[in-house]
Amino acid sequence: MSDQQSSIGSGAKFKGKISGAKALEINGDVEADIDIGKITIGQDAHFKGGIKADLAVISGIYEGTMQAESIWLTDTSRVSGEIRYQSLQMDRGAALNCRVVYNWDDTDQKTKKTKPKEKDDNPSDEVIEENK
Amino acid sequence: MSEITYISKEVSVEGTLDADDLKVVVAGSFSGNINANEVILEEGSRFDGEVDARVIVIEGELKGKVKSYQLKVSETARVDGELQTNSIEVASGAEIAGSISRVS
Repeated sequence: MSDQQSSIGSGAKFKGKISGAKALEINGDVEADIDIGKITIGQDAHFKGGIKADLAVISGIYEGTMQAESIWLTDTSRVSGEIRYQSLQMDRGAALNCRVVYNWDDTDQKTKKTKPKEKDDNPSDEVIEENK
Repeated sequence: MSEITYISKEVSVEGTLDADDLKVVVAGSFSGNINANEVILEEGSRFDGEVDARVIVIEGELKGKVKSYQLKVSETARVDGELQTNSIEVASGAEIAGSISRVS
């Protein structure tokens, strides 16, 4: 019993914060921001809010900004907002009405931050341009 | 099976849970309000807030308000607050501080 994974049952409504969970299954109506290993949003579920996860499996309705290494959108999923992923699987029937970003921030932000610095450093900047 | 709401040991939750005719089991920590049919606060759990349910079983730590028709306080429980219930069972060893009254 103690090793059972956390879940919000079908028919339950929750609004607030959930932290410390490794895995979470949502079958109810939830409004929250969650940072987690694995999250499953079931077919009857309605989730609103931000998700940061290693793996997100969506079968229900999702609204918000989701950032996950792996995202699986099953045939019953309906997503609006924004999803950022490194690996995405989408089943036939999945409904997306959202912005989709591959490989999101880490690499993007690093290049954006380092580019202006390269311009400031004159010698290295020239070398880089020559190489290109 | 999927109708149970379960908050496992390492998890802490803050907020409002409305699970009218459903069962809620808390093994971790919960701060806020729970409204359900049956609430079980397992041994080792921490609850801070208000619980309103038909049946409530307290095995962990609770601070706040409890309203139920049937309340069971086990020997591992530590309760500090206001208990409103029509039927109460307290095991020997349970710590209760606060008030106990009937549901009006």
